[in-house]
Amino acid sequence: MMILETPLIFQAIVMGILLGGIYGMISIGLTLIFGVMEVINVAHGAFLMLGAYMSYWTFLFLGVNPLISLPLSFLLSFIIGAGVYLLFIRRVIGAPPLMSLLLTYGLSVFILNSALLAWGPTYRGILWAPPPIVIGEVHVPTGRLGACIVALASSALLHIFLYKTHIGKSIRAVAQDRQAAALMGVDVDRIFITAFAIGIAIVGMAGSLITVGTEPSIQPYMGEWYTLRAFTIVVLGGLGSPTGALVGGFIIGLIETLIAYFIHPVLSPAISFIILVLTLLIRPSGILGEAQ
Amino acid sequence: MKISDILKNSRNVASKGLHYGVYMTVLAVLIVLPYTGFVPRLSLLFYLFMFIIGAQSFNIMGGYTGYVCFGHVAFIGAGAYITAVLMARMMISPYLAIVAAGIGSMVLAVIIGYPCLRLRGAYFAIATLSINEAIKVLILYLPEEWVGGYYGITLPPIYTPVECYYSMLGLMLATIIVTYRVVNSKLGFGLVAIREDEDAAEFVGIDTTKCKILAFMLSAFFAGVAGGIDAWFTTYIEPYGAFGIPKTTEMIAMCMFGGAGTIAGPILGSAILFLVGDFLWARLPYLHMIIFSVIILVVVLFMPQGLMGWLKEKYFKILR
Amino acid sequence: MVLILNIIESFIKIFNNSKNEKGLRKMLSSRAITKMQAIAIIAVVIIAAIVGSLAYYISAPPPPPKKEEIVIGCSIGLTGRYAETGRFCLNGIMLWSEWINAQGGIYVKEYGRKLPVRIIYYDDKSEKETAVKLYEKLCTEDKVDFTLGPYASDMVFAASPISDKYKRICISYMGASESIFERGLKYVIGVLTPASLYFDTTLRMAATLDPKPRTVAILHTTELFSITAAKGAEKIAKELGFEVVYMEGYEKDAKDLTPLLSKAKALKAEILLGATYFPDSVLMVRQCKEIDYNPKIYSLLIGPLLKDFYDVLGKDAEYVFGSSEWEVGAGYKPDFGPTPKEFAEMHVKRYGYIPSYHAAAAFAGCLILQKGIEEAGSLDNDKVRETLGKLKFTTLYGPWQIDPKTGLQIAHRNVLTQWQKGKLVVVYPYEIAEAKLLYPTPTWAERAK
Repeated sequence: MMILETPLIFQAIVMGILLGGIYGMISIGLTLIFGVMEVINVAHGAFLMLGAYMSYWTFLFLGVNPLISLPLSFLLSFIIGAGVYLLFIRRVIGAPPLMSLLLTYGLSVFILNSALLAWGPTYRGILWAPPPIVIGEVHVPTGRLGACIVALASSALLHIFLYKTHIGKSIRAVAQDRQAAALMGVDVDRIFITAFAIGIAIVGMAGSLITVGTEPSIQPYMGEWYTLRAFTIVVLGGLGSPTGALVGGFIIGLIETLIAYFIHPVLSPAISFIILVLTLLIRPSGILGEAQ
Repeated sequence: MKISDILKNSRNVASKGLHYGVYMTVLAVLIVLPYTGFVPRLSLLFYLFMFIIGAQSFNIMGGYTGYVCFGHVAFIGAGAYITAVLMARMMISPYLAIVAAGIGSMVLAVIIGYPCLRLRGAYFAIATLSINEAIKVLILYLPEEWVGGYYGITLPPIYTPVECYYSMLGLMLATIIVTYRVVNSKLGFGLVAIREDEDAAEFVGIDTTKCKILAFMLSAFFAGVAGGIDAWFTTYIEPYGAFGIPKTTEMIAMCMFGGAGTIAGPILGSAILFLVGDFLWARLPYLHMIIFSVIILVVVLFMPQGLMGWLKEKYFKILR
Repeated sequence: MVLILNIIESFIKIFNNSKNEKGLRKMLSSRAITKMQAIAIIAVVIIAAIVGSLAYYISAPPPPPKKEEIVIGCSIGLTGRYAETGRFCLNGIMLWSEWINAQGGIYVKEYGRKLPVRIIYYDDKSEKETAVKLYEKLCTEDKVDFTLGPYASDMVFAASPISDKYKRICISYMGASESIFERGLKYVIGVLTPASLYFDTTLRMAATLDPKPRTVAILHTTELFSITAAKGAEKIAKELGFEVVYMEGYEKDAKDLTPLLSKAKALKAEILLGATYFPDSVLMVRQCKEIDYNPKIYSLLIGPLLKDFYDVLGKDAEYVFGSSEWEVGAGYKPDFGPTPKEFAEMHVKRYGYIPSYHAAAAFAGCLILQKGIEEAGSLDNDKVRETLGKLKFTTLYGPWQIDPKTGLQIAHRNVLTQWQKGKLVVVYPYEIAEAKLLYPTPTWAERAK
């Protein structure tokens, strides 16, 4: 059923852009990790879920809004990321992709089921729903707006980090050419730990964001849905390019929303896959990635 | 030292006879099994065979060629669906349906292969994974009268469990024998060369494209037929089960656990992981996934060469 | 099968002969390794097979020499999508088995005494194919006497043909969709109100209101239960004189329902019917607030009936109607078995929380099986099935009677509940209502004050 009213078009575009920003942020972590150490992190959704739970507990015990408690999620996820790297990921650097795929898959199942065991399948939610901001006929959900703004701000911060700080530049150097960077005196192992931890930290933050941005409720399986989307976005934007992830996020967010509004809501997941497959066939390096 | 002596002896003295003797014994045991009252456990062995076939056919691409097809389950699912649609909707004989499933999977392999085999490593894995998902979504949204959509297809139970058991047993043997022959043939040699260094292989004159597509087709064929026989036995398929990612990952884990790139590896790995996993699932419904994931982690971290690689290192160093 | 094997073998022989080269083979000397591998394969496979089978035989309980107990089997989603509600159901079933065994078991005339029951259950991970395999296992390996259905209509739909194949009764205590019963299966028995009648109470209630709302919007997912409920609602709405202005489906894990809700708002639908499960019900209410859509009646399925609904939405959950199979406060007077209140007390004592309708339906399903066995006087599935076709009674769950031919439940009807001041109360039918219903729902703007 198509109802093409102008206000509806604007509503759709706004929702799509907001969603895109959040999608982009979710995907940046994934692409960063792959770009730097060529590890495909299938456990992405699991870390997202952990970030969401962190916000939930913070909200429950400290009464702090998820958008404000972000630094906490960042910190906790950073520590978890570093730990995961040291315990697991380190051993599969340089190994064939089969290893990292299997390892991260094992991790994701482990984290998910441990969460299920520890916290149960009960649905939880964060009771923070301020009224929407109304501009003309368009209702902008405040939660999602806040999440998108934070997502963009974080991406900007990440960009500054990668381009202006010493560590950031070292990370980019390692991503470009590991051996050359080592020859230049970069402690590659330390960079790996940092990059991975940052990647996971960003995902953890994204997890906090989605609790107010897109998810109605929190439960252990919530991250799975986003993992595949993140893969699509990352491939579309170019594996290894954070800017690409952001751009890809907006594209996918917009396309999904527009199709849901004007063609049929049920087609959205199919579209993601079609885009993914097409990208891989036509231009596997994505929009902003380096050509293979 | 004693072990190596025994092994050296068995290699030198009428070793062929010994090996074939042992093969035949195991085979005889498996064939006679249904008649000895083990009948209730048939389904266990049946699914074990299916996983062995899945792991072994994956091995052809993933282990020997080095192309990790993360969407391997797509072939099993395609085989199952072709069989189901032919049998349930068009009332075609099961034999024909199975053959069609095998051929259909090979065709699917060619269709997927030509674009995807150009990609390397991680990209290939993601590509096949996403194609698997795309097929699943496609089946979900096609009209129900064709492929059953969300609710799946129920097949008429034409074969008894025992007959299905023998079919799967036969298929498993065929898979193992064929894999063995291929590995020791020129094609096998080419595949290993591709795995080690594809550019060098091209340079030396191996037609990598042809080798890869052939391997893919072979891999798909066995997976497809296995999917079809599974459909006979389970009499019900639906998109999430037929194209589920956990199935692929389990097969890959089994292949790796036993040792990818060997013939015995997938068989060993499947046998152990499947039996252990099934046991855990039955007795510890809340913990089995956690334990299973821990096993996967342990395998990847400490035994990336798999059981066969580990065995080779420990016991066969002496012989080489 | 041997034929296939031969064909394949010859195909491969032809295929390989053109590629085999003896020289290469000798050079590779891979034969040596392969032989070693062969020994290893044989040894480990034999050991694994022996150990595996031994483990099964040792750890599985020994089959009783003659009939000592009644074995009932089922699979439930203890992990996966249906984890939460699946566990509620399991608790209900286990509560029943403890309750009945405390009385010595079920009296079976054929054996002249009471036989205790034993429940065998497996986790089907909320996957249909797994459930199918499990029912096959229950009927062939575990040799259960009767089966109970899994959780959710689509799972029951997939698994019930298997029980039927082995001529075992399958009590569908959690499958409400009519299509389960319309396939000519003989042994499936319904407990819940059929899915297409889920919105019956809402619409009938709306028809009694003054001023009567006119327009209806129906939203549903792609799942069997949801579609059935939606289509049923459409039919009933038209019968009762409402105008269905909008009906649309969405993907079950959708994160954004604003496209549909915006359209419903644009079309000024006064009644919003959502054939939801839990996450989408929450999303729907939240997003109605976001886009300031103010239907006079919100009626959603499944979601509003869980305590989590209020935990997650807080005050926004107020005024929402939930069509419920059963509530603790429903005033049924059972012909046998505990009353709703007694059942709730038992449940709280054993598990520490107030039961939802899942546990009640599961318990009732077992009660029904029990009654069938008692009345038939035998454990023969055909006899029990025939008996159940003729019976009619009331349990803690409400009235029960099936259509003898299809097994479809024809007596049970839902009750309508509404969230009022943080409590879920029964508001319709008026005869068994706990509180007066609140209508119309105030707008979001009014509520913010």
